[in-house]
Amino acid sequence: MNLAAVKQIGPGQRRARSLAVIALLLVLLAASVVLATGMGAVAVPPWQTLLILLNRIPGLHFDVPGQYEIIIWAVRLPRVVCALLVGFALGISGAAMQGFFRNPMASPDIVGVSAGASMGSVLAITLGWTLFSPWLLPASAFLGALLATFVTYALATQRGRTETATLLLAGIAVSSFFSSAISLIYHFIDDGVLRQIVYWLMGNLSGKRWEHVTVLFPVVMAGSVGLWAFSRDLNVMLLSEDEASSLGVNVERTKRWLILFVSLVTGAAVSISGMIGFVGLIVPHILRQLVGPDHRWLLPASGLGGALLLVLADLAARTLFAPIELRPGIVTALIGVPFFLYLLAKRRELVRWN
Amino acid sequence: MNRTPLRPAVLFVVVSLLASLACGATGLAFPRTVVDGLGNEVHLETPPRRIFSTGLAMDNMVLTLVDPARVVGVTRFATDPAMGSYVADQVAPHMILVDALSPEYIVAADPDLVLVAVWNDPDSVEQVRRLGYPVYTFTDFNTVEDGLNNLLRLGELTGEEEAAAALVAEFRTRAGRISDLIADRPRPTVLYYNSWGSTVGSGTVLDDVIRYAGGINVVSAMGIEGWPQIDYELILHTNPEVIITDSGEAFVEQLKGDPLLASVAAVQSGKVYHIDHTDALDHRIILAIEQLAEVLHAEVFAGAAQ
Repeated sequence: MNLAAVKQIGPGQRRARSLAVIALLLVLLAASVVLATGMGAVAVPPWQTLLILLNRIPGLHFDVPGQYEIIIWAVRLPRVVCALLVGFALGISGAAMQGFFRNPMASPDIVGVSAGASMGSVLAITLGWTLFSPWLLPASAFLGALLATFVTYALATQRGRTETATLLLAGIAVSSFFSSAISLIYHFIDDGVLRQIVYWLMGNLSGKRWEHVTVLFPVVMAGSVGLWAFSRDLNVMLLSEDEASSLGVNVERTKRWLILFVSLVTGAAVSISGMIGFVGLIVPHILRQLVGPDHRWLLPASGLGGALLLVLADLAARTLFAPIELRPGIVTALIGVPFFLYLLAKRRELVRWN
Repeated sequence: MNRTPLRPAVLFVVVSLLASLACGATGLAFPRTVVDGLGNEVHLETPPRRIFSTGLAMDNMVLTLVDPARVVGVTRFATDPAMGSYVADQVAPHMILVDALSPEYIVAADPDLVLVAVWNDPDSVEQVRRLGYPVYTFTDFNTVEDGLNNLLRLGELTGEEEAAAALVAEFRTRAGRISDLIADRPRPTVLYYNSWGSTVGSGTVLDDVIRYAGGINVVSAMGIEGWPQIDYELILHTNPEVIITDSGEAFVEQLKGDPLLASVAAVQSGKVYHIDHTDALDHRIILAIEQLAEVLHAEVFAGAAQ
């Protein structure tokens, strides 16, 4: 692979195709949001759902039963929007990490970011910070994510150079360390708090309110825009760090910014939903097939793909065995993994790198 | 056997309910404000008539204390005696069955009192609270007294304090009877062990059960608290005279036949027992206490039954 090839994927067919894929994802996402808002434990007729949503447009007013309005507007829609934002965050940070580490195995789960964010969140819950401000949980998760990523990165960096294999190995070690630290906390806390934490760690979107959306939306958007701003640098870094440097990319600086943004986005997502695996790993691989390795397209497409997967997974989790509610993480893994393996079997070169 | 069934308690509830309905006295001291274990105030203008319970412990209590017509939702576990429900016959078709606290179902049932336990998902609890439903959180389930206290609190919330007090009084009478019968008896050492490899130390309902039944819990005697997992070394070291479990008769046989435990006093004398009702979290824990007392002090109970 040479530089000419990277340049080729800018304009032309690839661009038209990427645009089409992103447009399709947007349409599917909009449809899945409507579907997920309309369906749930309590049956609300579709036209009522529509009227309730239209009621939010200033100047319009339709009469709908108050109970339906509460269920759709206060209970279901914020949950669906949270699923969308968390999925977007996991998808885009997964894509960025795979590019940044130049490794198809990289995902927030694997390099320690998720475990660090969990550690931060568990501390915040254990120490009761969540009672003071809704921002303290994501802030603590972000700091945990940043700490974990920083430790991983520092361990693997010598004389200004970061060895990717060492970095992954360090990430797995740091992950294990934080997971064990969480388990250690289990032994010293109240039964009630323990159950809350276990409940939260298993990944869960129940009870999400507009407040959570208010916290999640600006952080995920800011972090995503930040990641996207580095998409050209990510493209060049795919070649090799030496070539990237010779092309004028300040590799170490870029890595530091990418770590910061990935921690921000993942920390926000984990603090709201707990651990939801596989989205960050699988979605970027599927979309790399569709839009190619250019991060300018791959990052937003992976975000949208992650959002679509999680909105649908949460819908399935809520409705498949109602009133029993599954963990959305179970569904993302049960649906996502077979689909991923199907693609892998169909195209052995699925992990088509650049 | 000197055991009174729980029926009189149920009868008492029904009678007192009818009596209170008859003279319209249920609302005697309403409006009232009750403070829950988290310090949240629950204000009730009238006795709640649409109660939603989101945990089996509360299902068991609420369906014992109040007319099922006043309950709009319980957990699906309440329908199944095998899951630890004592009130399966009180679950009525009009009730919504949930797996756990789920805001959508709460809104659909439009309750005037929601009972939650401290381990319910905090986000869901907060959402229900913000939607304006009165939420009462039960926080303590760690001792027999916690269970009795929860029952009294629920009585206060529902306006059924007399029925709750009667159930607690019945517990104390029956526990007192055991205490009298075994007053002069030596206290055997007891160890609880289940198929998860866990035991119980101090600060647990089962530690209380062993004490009420006239035994000494060797684990809490060592200063161990809570529900730790232990290995066989601790069983050999403490060498209890009796081992109890709630993991079933097959597990009892497994322990008795385990060559590693062959030297333990309880195994040598065959005093390994399965005890029922160990997961009762209210006045019904007396059933476990009575069952255990009868195996720990079989002689006096055999005499008392004649």
